[in-house]
Amino acid sequence: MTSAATVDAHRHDRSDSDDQGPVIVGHGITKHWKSTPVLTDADLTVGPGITGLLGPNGSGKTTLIGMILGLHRPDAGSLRVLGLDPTVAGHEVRARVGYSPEHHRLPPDTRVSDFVAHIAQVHGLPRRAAINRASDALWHVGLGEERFRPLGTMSTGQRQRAKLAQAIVHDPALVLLDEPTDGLDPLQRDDMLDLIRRMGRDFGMHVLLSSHLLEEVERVCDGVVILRDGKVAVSGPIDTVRGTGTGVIVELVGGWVQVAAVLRAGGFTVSRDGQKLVVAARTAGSDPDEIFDAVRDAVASSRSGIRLLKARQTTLEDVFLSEPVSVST
Amino acid sequence: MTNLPPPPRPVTPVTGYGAAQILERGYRRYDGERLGRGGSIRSVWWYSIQRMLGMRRSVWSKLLPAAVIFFSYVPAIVFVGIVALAKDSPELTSSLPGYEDYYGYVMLAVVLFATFSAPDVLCPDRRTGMLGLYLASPLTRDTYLIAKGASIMAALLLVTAGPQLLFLLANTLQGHTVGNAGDTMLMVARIIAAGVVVAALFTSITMAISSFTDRRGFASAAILLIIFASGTIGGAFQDAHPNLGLLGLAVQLPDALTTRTFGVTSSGPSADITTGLVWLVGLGIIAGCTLITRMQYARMQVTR
Repeated sequence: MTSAATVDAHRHDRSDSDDQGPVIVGHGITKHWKSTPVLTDADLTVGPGITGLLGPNGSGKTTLIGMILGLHRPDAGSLRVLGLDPTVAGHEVRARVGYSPEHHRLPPDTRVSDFVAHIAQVHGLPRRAAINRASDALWHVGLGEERFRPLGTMSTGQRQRAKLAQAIVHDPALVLLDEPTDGLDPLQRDDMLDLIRRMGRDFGMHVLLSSHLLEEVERVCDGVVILRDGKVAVSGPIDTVRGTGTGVIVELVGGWVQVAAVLRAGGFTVSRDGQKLVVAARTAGSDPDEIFDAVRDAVASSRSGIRLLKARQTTLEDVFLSEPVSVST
Repeated sequence: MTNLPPPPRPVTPVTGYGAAQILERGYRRYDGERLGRGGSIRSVWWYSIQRMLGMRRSVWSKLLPAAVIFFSYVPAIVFVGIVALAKDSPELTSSLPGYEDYYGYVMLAVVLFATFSAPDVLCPDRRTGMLGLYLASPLTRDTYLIAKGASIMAALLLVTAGPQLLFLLANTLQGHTVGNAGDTMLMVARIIAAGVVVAALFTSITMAISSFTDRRGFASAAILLIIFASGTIGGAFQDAHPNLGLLGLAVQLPDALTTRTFGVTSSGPSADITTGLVWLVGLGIIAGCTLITRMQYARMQVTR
């Protein structure tokens, strides 16, 4: 099976991954488990770069990953992964994809170097190359010194790294990470997110990061797909999804009741968030400077003092908690 | 007097151990050879054989397979010794059992080996989530089961065909041949065929049972229980109704299959059953158990 064709096919892999087009494109994907709908008419675009797959538990993230790997067939709709249809060319897709599952159960009596090398061989690498790359991958994820330890003796953080190493050992074009920071303490989580960022920026891999933690997706991802109730609520580049500022946050030294009254009288929507006032524009798309001017005038007229004044940035949490919005790509 | 700058340090040549540097090689792309699905199957096949035999595992994991394999070779070694010591006594050497009778001496070892082999290579993959990782590779559920089944069969051949081949080789080297070269090759083929048949039978049965649980201990206990219970129940029926040959077949199916592979009709309770029926039952059990295993794996959720 060591034909030139397989080598050529892989060279094709790299040229695909170098392409800056979308890595995964889905249209109208619908999937039911028995009578329970998991995904309904989902349209999504993933990549290039690092994309977050966000959604609460049970929103269909893992099912979507299974469909990307060609392990489940959508009931309706179409899905293209790296330009291939996973329902037809599942094994070709999986040869070019690395997958790190959510669970931490790994063979306890297997040395981590043997485990990673074995996964490399399962993805088609010859034995010698698999052993060399397993060693490299373990150094990259910070397990170089621990590579001869059995997996059963490793901590949760080390197992997460071992899972990451086996996902990248065969140099995939796309890596699917299912909750890679689950069970990690804050320091370990920072390290893991840095590692994921390096995979996307330095290793040249496209990454789909499945998580229910909005903050970590905001930190490392270029794009986001938000699933809610089996539907794609939002899909697109993270900056586009968050949008620009949608108002102003002002923290005052007293007099906030008068300032709020003046602004409301001027037609602005004002809400209180702790010690701060959040002032929204009168109409969507209006000039942001108009709000700043109005706040300045209101504060001056009420003889109050300003402690903080800044544009309000929409967070993913705002998007996530809002009603389903149109898909932006 | 002006302050002169310090003299430059002598430049030492960068050679020997002093030249050692640690370089950050960075991430390296892989543009080398990929072996495709065949490589994936071979990898799982060989890895599973290693696990079954306890290779790259603790000493305790090596003990049971080593002991069972050793005991399966003991009769062959004893017979070879008798042939060597009693070359001048044709009555003694001719009273030694034939190759087709060898299974009677080692069937317990074969059953024991089968009892821990399939659970050892199938159950931990589901319990530890390895199955999900395998199916996220070019392997499919079918190719995964093929690789696992082939590995169990290959390991079982060590005890189902290996001892007889050793016995035949040693006998031939000592001049105690089965005939001319053609007869010897025919015997080799029959030994291998019989070994494959018994290995396939036990592989299919033990894989089917193992597919119902992810606990090795439960699977091994269930295999032992089913094999011995079916034998006991079949034997009881056989004793009560000697004409119920088919039930006798349940007891002696491996024996009936192997003796017929050697072209000999079984002398046991299944002696009256036609060879066609023996093969039908044997292949039916292999096919049925394979189907059960496949169905069990087809409905497994693997991405969690």
